[in-house]
Amino acid sequence: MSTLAINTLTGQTSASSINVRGEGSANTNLQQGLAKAWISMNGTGTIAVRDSFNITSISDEGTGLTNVTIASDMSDGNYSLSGASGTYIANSDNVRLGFSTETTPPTSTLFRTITREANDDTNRDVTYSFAQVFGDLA
Amino acid sequence: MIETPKFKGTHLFARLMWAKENLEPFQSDIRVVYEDGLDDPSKILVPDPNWMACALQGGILPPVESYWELKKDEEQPDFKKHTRGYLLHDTEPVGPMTEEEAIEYLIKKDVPSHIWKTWNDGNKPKMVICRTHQLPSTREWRNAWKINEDIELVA
Repeated sequence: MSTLAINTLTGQTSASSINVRGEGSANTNLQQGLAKAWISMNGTGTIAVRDSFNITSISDEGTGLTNVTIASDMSDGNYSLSGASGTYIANSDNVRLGFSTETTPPTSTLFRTITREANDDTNRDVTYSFAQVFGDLA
Repeated sequence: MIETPKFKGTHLFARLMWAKENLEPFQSDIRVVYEDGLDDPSKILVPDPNWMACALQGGILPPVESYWELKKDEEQPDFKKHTRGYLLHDTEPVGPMTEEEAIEYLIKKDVPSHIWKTWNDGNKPKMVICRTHQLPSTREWRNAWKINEDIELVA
């Protein structure tokens, strides 16, 4: 067994692209598989950031609505978002997190999360919400 | 205090990775409350603790004007992808900021410009800077919020 101790990996053909051998003969790509930003938020009371990477601020935009602003911009608004949510509020553990695509579509520097009660589809502030960004940086 | 490497020309993402590794997050209790629409509740801007650490440290963040330039590009009807990302990475980073200066930077970056440029035009202010303890924490209050017309403005 050997250990690779290294500070920077750089592609040889293209500095910004490193292939990783995937299943069978497929090549996957290291850069495309890394999250470019992530955040863990508390949306109840006065909203707060628990921890994050590549975020400048969050903004409480109304019940269940939070704008998240990115520090190192993405190349456009066509990145992929994923997330989850949960809450301690009694009788309200069935919440879900989504992203606004119509009223506040993602831009290279901002996306909006929406948390809703799954039972009656009303917006809900939740104790835990998480989001990750995958895509290309500017 | 740890010294910031010379970051000019280093991708902003890489600088943020260095900051995440080396700086303690700073939980500011300053909040920015602003109104953007007659029928909407007031909005509350909360600074990110890791970003605040970068702002206080200095030598990491690009000038806010770099973000404005990219925003202008993105507002063009034929915008497809950013081609001037180098403005974030190659511009001389700004030096250390006080907490108040960091919030000012954040307002200019993340609050819509039509709010902060005209925050005190009109019959009452559209934006105030306050501390968390001054904010009502319950949603019953917040969804009915408007900035108090008798608020004492802080210069």
